[in-house]
Amino acid sequence: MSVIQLQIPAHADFIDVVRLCLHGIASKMRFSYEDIEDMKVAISEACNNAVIYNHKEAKSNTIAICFEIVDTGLSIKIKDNGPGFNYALSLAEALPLQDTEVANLRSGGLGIYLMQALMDKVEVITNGGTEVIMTKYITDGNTIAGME
Amino acid sequence: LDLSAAARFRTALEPIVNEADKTLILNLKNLKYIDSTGLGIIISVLKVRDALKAKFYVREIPVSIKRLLDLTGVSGFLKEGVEGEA
Repeated sequence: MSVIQLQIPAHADFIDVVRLCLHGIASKMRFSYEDIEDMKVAISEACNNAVIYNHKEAKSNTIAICFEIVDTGLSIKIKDNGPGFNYALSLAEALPLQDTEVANLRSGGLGIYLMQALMDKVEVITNGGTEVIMTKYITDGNTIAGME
Repeated sequence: LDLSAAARFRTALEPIVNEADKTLILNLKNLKYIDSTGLGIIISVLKVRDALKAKFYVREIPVSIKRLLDLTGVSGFLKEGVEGEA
């Protein structure tokens, strides 16, 4: 397993840096264009939540992102030390928009749904902070470059 | 259109979203990226325009953006409108 770590201030202005880093790693692993785009959205959603639910607590807060390259794919851990929110409940309730009247639409809650829909596996550990672990498996035919 | 761009986008929309007698057209041709923050804003605009019974169209949606709109179910509420109607 190869591990790449990145730490950013818990601020929206740095989430694009996480996407760029992910793009580099996933390209090197030869993930498909679609898979890379999917992972970019999923990782951003986890970082969005870390920024929205935590950074008001302390100015020095950071988000730690850990990319773990394994034979089967890429595992990404997004960890913050803020109080977080009830991820377990949100994961269970995450749904796309239902066929309803426009007036009844909710504009929030799509982030967690997207994470689940775009990744193969999403786990959340809340223990003195929030850690989201999301995994994307590399499909057959693609090879992991530079790992020989 | 992510968390860092959301405030600017909301500010840009603010003076025009409530103009009920005009047609609001959002052209997404040059949009490279969107996440739940941007989708949330589009849903908010949909709701405001719906409440005003005002026209709101979204045009030239790139394929990668369309995929996320479809996945989240937002597509079902968007209209492209007829050319020249604006």
